Amino acid sequence: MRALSSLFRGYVIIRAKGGRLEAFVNRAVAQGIALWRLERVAPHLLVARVAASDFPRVARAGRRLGVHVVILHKAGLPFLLLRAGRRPAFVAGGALLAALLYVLGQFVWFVRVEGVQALPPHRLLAVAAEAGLRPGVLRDLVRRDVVERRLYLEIPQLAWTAVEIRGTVATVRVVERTELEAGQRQPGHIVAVRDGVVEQAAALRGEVLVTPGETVRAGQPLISGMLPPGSAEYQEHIARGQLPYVRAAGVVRGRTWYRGLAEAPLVRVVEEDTGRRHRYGILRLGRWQLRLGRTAAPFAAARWEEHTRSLAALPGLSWTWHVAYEVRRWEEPVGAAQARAEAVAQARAQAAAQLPAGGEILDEQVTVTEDRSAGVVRALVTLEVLQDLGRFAPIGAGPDGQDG
Amino acid sequence: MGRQRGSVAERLVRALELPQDIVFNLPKTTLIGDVQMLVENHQGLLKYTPREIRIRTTQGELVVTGSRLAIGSILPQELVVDGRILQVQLHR
Repeated sequence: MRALSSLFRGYVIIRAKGGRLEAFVNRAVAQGIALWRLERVAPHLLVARVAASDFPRVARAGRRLGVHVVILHKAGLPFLLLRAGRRPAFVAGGALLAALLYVLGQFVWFVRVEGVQALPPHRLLAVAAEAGLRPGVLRDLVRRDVVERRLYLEIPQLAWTAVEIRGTVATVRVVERTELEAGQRQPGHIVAVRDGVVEQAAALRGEVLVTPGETVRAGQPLISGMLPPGSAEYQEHIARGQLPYVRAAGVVRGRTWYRGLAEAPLVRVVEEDTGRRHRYGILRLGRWQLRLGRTAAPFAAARWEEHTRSLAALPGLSWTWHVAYEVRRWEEPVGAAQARAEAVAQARAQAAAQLPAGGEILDEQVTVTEDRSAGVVRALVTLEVLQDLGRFAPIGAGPDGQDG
Repeated sequence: MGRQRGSVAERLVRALELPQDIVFNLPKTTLIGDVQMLVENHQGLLKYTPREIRIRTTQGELVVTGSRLAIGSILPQELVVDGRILQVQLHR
């Protein structure tokens, strides 16, 4: 608050010089004068701020105590106006600049397009320009509703559009209609994604070829996209000169199996730092390099680390430390139960990682074998899963409807 | 005599739950972390250096030590010390 009022009323930065600076401050304060941002820059020197109107009283208080007070700087609005009054051309220039900025701010200088995907932005800009929105036009003259209506009428692919003007930037936001791509209308079958046993099959379009309980192989057609000869739809397609195929759609769920195989060691190598280390450095400058220290570590076993430093100011110059930490390694037996648990967990994770979204685990079978000679425990986890067995395969992509 | 009157007055002030700093003109010191200190009801500056500031109060001398000490503002009733404050002591 003081900062604001002192800016409006004007303040001075003073330098007080003398031996009794504390007494000087107390004398000024006793007279009801506020001083702020006091800094003792030297034993006999004090810099402070005081309201411009209080300066004569401060100077008088100083004189009585043998303290010499001078003004270092005058700040605040009154002094600014005073200075401005002495330089009318400067003030006029500033006012002109402000006026110019205000006037220029009344126009649209940039037109942007957001949200386009397939449509070329220049087409939208051209239509907007025809409707009155283009760079250089007065903001108030732009009728956003007119521009939006024109965009809808001229570009049928638009589902939604909005024009927004913020400052000197106009933004045309659009959302395009989503249309089925040619690929999504292509005829084809629903085929088995992998081997399994069908549990449930229903067609939304096309003919179901499998029954619950039936075993299917990967790639086998489950719902046919070929219309049955003699059906009304078949006749219709032929009459229109089209091939008797549709895009099969439907749901086929079935049981299938996923396997995960993993092994866990019965002996584990444990490593521990001894605390001893050896290091050498390499200084590189372009293709030239200088090695400091021996590269071979005097340890039986070591763990190496590398740290490189370079200077952004000197590209090509780098300094690399290679540090070898001596380690002690020994083998520790792992309990059979622990090894089994690890192997099973890994195998299970491996099998589960293959599951598709929406797959439901019905059963799990675990087989564990211990191979003492190899020092490992092997686990095989088989998950029985109920999942969507079908996937779309376009006709003509393969001999049995498979693509690829 | 003064002490007697003071203690009676103190008891009265306490009984009436009046603010003691206002009634007895006691110094009120507020420390904000170690970066700022506000002293109300001070009685003047005794010494000011960037390492030590001594302030006179009705209770004695308030000694603030630290580094880069500066006086943020000084008014008849209020004094603000800025800088890195390490120690505040009241010398009677």
